[in-house]
Amino acid sequence: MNDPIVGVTNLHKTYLSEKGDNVALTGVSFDVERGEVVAIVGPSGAGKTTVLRIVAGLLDPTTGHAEVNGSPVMGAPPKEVGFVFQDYSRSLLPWLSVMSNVTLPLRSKGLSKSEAVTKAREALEAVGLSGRERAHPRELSGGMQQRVAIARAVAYEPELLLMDEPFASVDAQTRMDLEDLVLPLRDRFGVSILFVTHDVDEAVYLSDRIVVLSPPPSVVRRIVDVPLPKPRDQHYTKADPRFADLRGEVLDLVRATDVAHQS
Amino acid sequence: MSTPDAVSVRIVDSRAVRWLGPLVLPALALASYQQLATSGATPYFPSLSDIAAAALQLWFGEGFVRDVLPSLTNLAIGYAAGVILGVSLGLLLGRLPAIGTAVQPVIAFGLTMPAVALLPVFLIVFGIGAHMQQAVITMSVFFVQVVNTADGVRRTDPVLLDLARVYRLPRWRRILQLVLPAASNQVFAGARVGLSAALMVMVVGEMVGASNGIGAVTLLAQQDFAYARMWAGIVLLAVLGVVLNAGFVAVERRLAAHLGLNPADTEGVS
Repeated sequence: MNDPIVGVTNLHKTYLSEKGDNVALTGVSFDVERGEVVAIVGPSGAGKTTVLRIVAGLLDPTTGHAEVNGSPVMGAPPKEVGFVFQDYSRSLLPWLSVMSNVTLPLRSKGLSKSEAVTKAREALEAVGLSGRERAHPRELSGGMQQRVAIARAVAYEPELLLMDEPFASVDAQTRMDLEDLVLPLRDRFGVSILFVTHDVDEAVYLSDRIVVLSPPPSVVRRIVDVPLPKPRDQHYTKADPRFADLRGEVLDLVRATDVAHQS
Repeated sequence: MSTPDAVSVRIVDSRAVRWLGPLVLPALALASYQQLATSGATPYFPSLSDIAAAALQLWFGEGFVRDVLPSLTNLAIGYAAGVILGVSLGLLLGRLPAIGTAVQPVIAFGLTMPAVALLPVFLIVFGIGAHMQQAVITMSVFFVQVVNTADGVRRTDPVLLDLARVYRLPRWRRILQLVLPAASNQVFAGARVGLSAALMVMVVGEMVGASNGIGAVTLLAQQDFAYARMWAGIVLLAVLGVVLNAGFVAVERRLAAHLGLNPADTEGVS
């Protein structure tokens, strides 16, 4: 509780536009402890991605602040952060091979070519893509492309992995595979994870805690603890009665807030 | 209905049509021209064999060194300079919208203004010679290359720019490995339009301000009433245009394939 990897304090964000200002966040606060997996959920338009982008340093809050490792995030992404973008088809560079896509950030980080290649191989192996290093993204399926994006983030050895709806654009089966890929990565690379999802099942399945946002202008509706045993398992965890209870609780929180605002 | 033989005949037919079809009209045109030329009605249209003989005499051997080579050298130097300068400034303007807005009116003016209109000025500044030829060719390529490159750079997917920020790519990596490849379609489009402009300006430049070169020879021939030589010049310029365009397409395809882009995507963008 006293040394969180992420500290978010009273974030306000207003998007200014000619059609009128759009208040996205009005006072969002929460922490992510080291080694924790935290999900941000909420109804659509609830500023989930806004929070994530502020933590990543890709967006400045109107007021309030985010800290990573105790240092305020100011105008630029903190060096501890790896990011998995929602749309793999846009975040992979089609003109680079899988290997070059993964090593690109590593080389920028100052690693020698051979060090970068070693780390990239390790990460690609961890996501089950050994042997596809020389392929180009277009030769891979959507699920495999998103694995490359995850490998790229993991090979960077971030202390904090941020993921923006990382599995939203793949099919259900691939989504489960990728979910089961991410949790062991946490143990293997010792990374803390903060991610956005619109899928309540996914949030409960992957997380230690879930931050539920209200509809915009968003506040934290509630932070739900997920005391399900680890390691998680697609079959047993989801068959656990507590899983169903938590799922129902979070779903109600997400949907009840919808109703409250519509009336 | 259709026996295997009939089918194969039809395949042969369609193949023959595909290959020979496009040649029918040019062949007809040449034949009619030859008809006109040999009828002796007018001296302005010499026969094909006369034109071929003139071309042989003009463009091979000594003529090649005196006229063709300088033309091509000026074209290559002027074009390369225009593309390189244009891509560089285009990158800058695309990445820095504030400067882009400030420079926009000048660029728009340079783009609309025919480069050949400035020939008199270039003649004064550079005098007659290779430098003048190259400079005016550069100018004809430069603006179209700037506008297309800047447009492509401006349209870089914001996700890629976020990626570059999160992973702290240094500026040169950002430009060479991310922004430039992402804008390559528009860069190619600019270079292609620029190539046509460069060839045209090369000819006009030589007609106006040069004593040698393909354009100069062609115009002098007309003034000397040497119509076979005049036509030999026109034919060479036409062939050059076709060859350069084909070469460009080949290079573009290879580069697009190398970049992992669909070559079809780069067609028809201008």
